Amino acid sequence: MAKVKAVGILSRYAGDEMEVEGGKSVEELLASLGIPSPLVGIVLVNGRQVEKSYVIGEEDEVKLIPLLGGG
Amino acid sequence: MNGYGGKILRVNLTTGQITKEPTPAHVAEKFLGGRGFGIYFLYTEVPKGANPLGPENKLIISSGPLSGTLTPGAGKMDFTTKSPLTGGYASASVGGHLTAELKYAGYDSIIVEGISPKPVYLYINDDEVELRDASDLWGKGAITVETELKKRLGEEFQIATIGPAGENLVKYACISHDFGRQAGRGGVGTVMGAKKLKAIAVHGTKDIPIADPQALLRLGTEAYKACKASGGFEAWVRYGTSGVTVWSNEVGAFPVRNFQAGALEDYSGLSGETMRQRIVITDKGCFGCPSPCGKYSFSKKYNIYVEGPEYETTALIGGDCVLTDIEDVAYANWLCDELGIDTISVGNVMAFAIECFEKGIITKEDTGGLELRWGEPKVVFTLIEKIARREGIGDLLAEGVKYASQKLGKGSEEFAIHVKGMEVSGYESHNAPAMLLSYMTCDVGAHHNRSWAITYDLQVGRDLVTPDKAERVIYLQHVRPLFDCLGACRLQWVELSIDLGLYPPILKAITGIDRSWEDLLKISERVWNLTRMYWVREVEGFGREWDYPPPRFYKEPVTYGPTKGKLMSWSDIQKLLDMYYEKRGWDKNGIPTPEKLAELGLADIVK
Ligand code: SF4
Repeated sequence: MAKVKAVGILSRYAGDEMEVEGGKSVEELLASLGIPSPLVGIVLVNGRQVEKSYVIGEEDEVKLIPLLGGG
Repeated sequence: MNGYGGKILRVNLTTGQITKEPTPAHVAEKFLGGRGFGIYFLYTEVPKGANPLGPENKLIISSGPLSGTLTPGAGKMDFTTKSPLTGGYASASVGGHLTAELKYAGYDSIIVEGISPKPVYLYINDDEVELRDASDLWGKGAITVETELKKRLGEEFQIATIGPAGENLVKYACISHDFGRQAGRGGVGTVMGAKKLKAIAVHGTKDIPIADPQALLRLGTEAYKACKASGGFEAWVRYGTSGVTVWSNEVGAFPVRNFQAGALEDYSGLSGETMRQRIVITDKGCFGCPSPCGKYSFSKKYNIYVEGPEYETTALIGGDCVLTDIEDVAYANWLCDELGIDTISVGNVMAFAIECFEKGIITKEDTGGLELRWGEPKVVFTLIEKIARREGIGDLLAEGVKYASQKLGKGSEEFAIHVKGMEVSGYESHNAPAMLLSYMTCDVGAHHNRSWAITYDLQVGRDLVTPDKAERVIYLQHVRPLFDCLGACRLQWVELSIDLGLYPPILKAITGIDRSWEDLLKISERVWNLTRMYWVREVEGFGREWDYPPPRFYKEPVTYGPTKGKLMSWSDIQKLLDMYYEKRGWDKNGIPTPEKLAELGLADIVK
């Protein structure tokens, strides 16, 4: 199982942390969780940035980080 | 003149003379207002080499053409002066209700000159303007004075005031307004203190002439609707800038232990959600704002009400000094607000002092027995008080990290986190070239307001040092401060992503003058280049070296967080500057070329 952590405002959709099966792309994961893709600014897998087309592996740790404008 | 109050109010504190002049149309045309007016008057009126704390320096307080109109967030006021902290250009903005009120009184700018023989405050009630005795207010805190003046004059008066730190000439004293908003950076409050001007109270009842009221009603309403319909609206209003804290820790942009690390081991006590649940009691907005990001809080632990903490305060006092309980940060925030100190600079200064103590550069003898340690609320509270009153070690720390490190020596310059003498704000940038370049080239010193480019680094790749990064920084340096010329808040665009295309038609409806975004960006570029020329004129030998970042960013790798082990290389820093100067049309030393100045219509001003 892959671990998914949704940061900040995104945790409203996915809870702080959850487990999902590998084999789906990040984009598909977002759709299944009902997270609007434009809200997700950065996707980190095992600490490295990936595209939303990245296919999640069973051992991956996925972090979804919201897009922010900043002060 | 449509869209303007129509007059400049000139107040000479030395002589007590008060004059009103028509707002010059050619200045409005070339510089719009706000920070554009600020730099125009600073450059043309304050003589070269003026002492920032002397009578020749001026404090220029300006609204913009959008201020006080039916435009989302049309409540930003700019304060421009020669900075006592950096010796160069300073401009700081504040939200709230001051700028609208000033325009309703019929003024676009107040130019404060000279030094008053005794403490005074400036009273403005439409055409009635006078200097009033403020001896009984001198020494009092900013929030106390605001409350007191409202009691005396009436709730409808809008107040800007300094606290004891401004009076004591702490180099990074701020100007406070609306019970917790500040024109924070660069020592604008210090200049007020030097001038013995404790406060400004404004009330206005006049109309602003609008070229096409029907069009403004339609376009303004449309812009408000766009804000409310934004996908980011709910989160922005729930958390305000405190929503950045978790994000910043997760991406390793949170300054910790004097910018040694990029995240806290445990930041849960500082998160936006923790803050919302534990201390926030209501939302608070500026004039005409559809998306109130101000969070008004109550701390049970300390029994105080405070606006905030904003992200920046949480970053520099919570992260950098390692206070991990939001109530401790809230109390430090309250102290700074009442005493009138910029939380960003003071957070940096304290982190610097703690590191000096750790390294034996400052000892118990210097601190009067106080052990300076990370994560000690009492240390932070005591230092803030000492700095504001210039007591003991506070006297040195009140000068900022640049001066303090030069004075202390022993290698402390290596970890004095500033650019051009201004302490770096809340984004750790060892591994964010565009953000670092933003800090290096910001026209007031290391502040994020002009360009916030860290998301760009994250999007395109944090290790990349490519020309598009310089391009992005320049673009942001023109768009974001344009809002400070217009006298409005940029956050409806930044946070709610409303279309920038909404603004030119609104501005046209107000002023009657048709300008495209490109025209407006050209004005912003003109302002940018004039602020640069101000540095060139005022600081001997000014050039490339002044854009270098603090050594820590290229000499010491990040100690903790997602970017652990990362740092910038010296050659990449040079590369960034080369790309940036070239794209700006500046020479290799970072000085605008005569051709560039002529192209921007500045040749006659910069002689
Ligand atoms: S978004 Fe925040 S800073 Fe901007 S006008 Fe609204 S309350 Fe003020």
